[in-house]
Amino acid sequence: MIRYMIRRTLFLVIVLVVVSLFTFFVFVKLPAGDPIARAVGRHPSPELVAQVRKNFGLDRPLWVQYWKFASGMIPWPGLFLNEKVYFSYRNQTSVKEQILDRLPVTVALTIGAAVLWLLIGIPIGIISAIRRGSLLDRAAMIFALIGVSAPIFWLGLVLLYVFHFRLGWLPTAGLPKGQSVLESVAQGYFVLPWFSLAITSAAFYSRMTRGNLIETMAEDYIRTARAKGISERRVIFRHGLRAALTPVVTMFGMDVAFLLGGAVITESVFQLPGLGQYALVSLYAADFPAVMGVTLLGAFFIVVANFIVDVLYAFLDPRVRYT
Amino acid sequence: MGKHVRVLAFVAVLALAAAACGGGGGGGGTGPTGPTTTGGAIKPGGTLRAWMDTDVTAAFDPQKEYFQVSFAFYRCCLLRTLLSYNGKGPDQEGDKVFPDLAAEMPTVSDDGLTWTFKLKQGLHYAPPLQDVEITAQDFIRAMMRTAKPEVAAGYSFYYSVIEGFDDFAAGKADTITGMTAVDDYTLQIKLTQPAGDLGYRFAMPATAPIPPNPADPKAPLGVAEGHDDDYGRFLVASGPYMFEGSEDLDFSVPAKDQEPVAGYQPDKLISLVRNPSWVADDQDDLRPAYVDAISVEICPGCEQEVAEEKVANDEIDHIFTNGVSAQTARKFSQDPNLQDQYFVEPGSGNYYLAMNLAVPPFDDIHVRKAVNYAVNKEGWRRLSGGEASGEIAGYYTPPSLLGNLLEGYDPYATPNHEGADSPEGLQLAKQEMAQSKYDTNKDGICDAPECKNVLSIGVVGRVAEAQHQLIAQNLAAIGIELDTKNFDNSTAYGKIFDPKNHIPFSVFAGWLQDYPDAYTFYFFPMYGPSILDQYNTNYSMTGASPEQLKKYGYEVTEVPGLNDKIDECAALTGDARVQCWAEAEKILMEDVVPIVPMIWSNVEQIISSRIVNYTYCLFDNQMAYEQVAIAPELQ
Repeated sequence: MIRYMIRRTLFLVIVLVVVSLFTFFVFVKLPAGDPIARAVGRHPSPELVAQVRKNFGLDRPLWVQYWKFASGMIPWPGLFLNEKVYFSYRNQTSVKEQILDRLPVTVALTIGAAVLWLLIGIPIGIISAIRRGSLLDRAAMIFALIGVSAPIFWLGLVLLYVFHFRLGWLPTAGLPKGQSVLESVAQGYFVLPWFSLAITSAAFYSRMTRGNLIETMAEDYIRTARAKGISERRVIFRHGLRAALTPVVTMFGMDVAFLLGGAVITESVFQLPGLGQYALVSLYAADFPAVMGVTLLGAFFIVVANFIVDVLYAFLDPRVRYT
Repeated sequence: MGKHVRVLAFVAVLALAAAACGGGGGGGGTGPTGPTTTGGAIKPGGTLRAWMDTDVTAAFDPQKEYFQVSFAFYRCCLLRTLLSYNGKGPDQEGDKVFPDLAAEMPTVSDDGLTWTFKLKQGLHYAPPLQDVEITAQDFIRAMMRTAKPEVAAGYSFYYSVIEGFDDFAAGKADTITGMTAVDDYTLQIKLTQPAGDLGYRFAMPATAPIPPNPADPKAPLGVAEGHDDDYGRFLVASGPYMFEGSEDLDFSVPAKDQEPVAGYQPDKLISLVRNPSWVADDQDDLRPAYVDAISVEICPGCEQEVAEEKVANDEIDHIFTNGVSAQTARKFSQDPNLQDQYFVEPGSGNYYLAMNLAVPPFDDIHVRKAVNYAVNKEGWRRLSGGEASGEIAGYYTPPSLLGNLLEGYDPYATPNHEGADSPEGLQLAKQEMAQSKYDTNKDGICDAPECKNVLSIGVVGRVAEAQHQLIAQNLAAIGIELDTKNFDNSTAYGKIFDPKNHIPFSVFAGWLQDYPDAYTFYFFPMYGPSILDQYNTNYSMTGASPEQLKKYGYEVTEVPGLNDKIDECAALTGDARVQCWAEAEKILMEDVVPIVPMIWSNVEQIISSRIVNYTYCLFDNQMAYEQVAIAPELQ
């Protein structure tokens, strides 16, 4: 297990280095925007352009620029997302401060949505699988089809319009000033974003669970279990579902990690000041330090989620061992 | 995902809901256009709730910010300057400056080189510096910070006319020799050349006083010392409002250990509360400042249509931006319950097509005039959203900056502004083209190879691309075949910003005033000496010298310009100055012709039903937050 952990940690470092190199290359060698143009106003003298370039550290050799950003990945006080390097071109603030400020919103959005889509998607998938061909199965699959097909932004706008602007049942978009994220959660500000984000995933998870469970229930060992006289409920939940959920867990880990890096569309529609919104705006503004910070964080979440999923595999499937 | 797709989706949702609810027919007609105030009982109090989809550009650093939105916050609320505006529209002297921190308008020496400002006495900064009086030295400090290279101020070039400003910036002097605090309440400014608009320049936020640091009186930049990158978050206000939590600023500790104000959270929130040091009435007759607090939610990248719906629902009072979606504009302008919450205001900006005078065939004035006749401005505006998007421009500078002296002037008028899409317009364009050296058979259609595959740069987007196609079609009627290329904004500007790229034609240029004087329209895009190697905004190369043309690799060796006229106007003051700019405008449109003026843009505003005394400020093109109030029963 220890060797496995060390290997995974090394893997994490390599992934972050590769991601940072790639991001750096894209933004420095193939820039889509010019951060200097935004900062220098309408009539910049050559001296002003040079000064801003210097202020942004863009006058240094490429390898120096990269190293400054790379050193910000080292989890050590004073180095990690160093405020002198990870300093937004766009609004002259520390990227770390912005990320820490926004992370709770994204975490609340992700966790709530993830719980919802599991609670909706997996039961529907199970019922559809064990009542295959029934009216319930067909209804569930129609839900899945609609859910998978509905774009999140459209769904979000519809939910917002119907449940807030028309019916007034749920709070509006945005978060109230001066409240913590938990207070906003308690007041229901996340309900619509959760559902908006969860419905698509729930639909997908229900289809996945159904398909996997149907396939698993046709396995020899399931027949053996039934032959032993084990109750159908036990066969389904102890033997069938356990194996059927393995790919779902993989997908779940990736999805959650992906969303922790920022649920761009949902945050945009529901005006939630999360990481996705920050990433989007930084991207538009060619705010490289901010983009680098959010990208690395996203990559970190994905690698960690992969690790957790791998560990969970061993619990779900006895054939898996840490090697 | 394209933003327009999202817009369409929301529009579809609204349409669906309206149909489902059996929405009644609209009232027809358009919303009120032009009025700058709405009536209603005024009682101080309440919180104004606003929303904006983009943050300010430099975290409220008054030297760096070069953005109308931040100018609006400074003017209305945070920073007072020697002179300032009354926060009103064009018909209420909104384009004039008045004494603000100055006790009276400045006295100017006969040669126009020495300006003397007398300051009001007994004015203090916001907490925690409520005991520090605003004095003349504080303005010099602000100018020193503006000049300091490390700060990288946005528009320091406006102050190069101050004696010693450039030397201080270059590190050759310890002070700006042309600025003297004669005493605590008298500031004298000496110029190297007359600048008739210096009053406007000293109404810009970069000139707002920066207080000394009581804990470190020798710090040259006062409380801004050590905050070259981030003074905005440590800003000490002098206006009627301050950032919430300003009283907690602690300038006694080193800059790096200071905590920024709580009332400004980048990309999230602007929260302004009353500045207890601010004195109303006789000490500030420009700002009634009715509301107790202003809370602005910043939501970059968010759906503006959702915010617009919140305004209609009275959940927020105003959107701090330059426009509203077409669907919302229709809704507000047609719904009888919302009509008096919708305003179309003059925007102090323009859109134009730029022709490069140094690139054939646009080196021929007859070609440029023919293009002016050929373009269908009405069609272009219709694609932009119709009348609300702006007034069709007969010339370049917005009329109010020319004292409306050129009313009715349109040297290239065509019936209904339809250009070559009308028979008469096509005839006029052909007549002009026939005089060009590029029309060898004089049939009014350019037949020279220079008119084939003329590169034309535009930006991507459904509307912009349709407009580009319309222009290409109009020019094809006189034999100019455009090679239309559309790019994202950043790339497109990157191309036209570089004079070495020799871009012949661009269709997305626009300009916006810095302050209400035509100088800000001429100095950048129409003045040869302003041409820059990078980030050049004189896309037409108007007034470029032969040396400049050679430097940038042009084969054309001479282009027309009006540099001398601009120099002449810049030195004048008062009515003579306005008259001079009007004359310059005619030279520009008839003798130089570097552009096709398209529209003088409008600004559409929507407000909640809570707002009374709606007032529009012509300087910053926003609702004037210090002039509006919340309806007493809704406070």
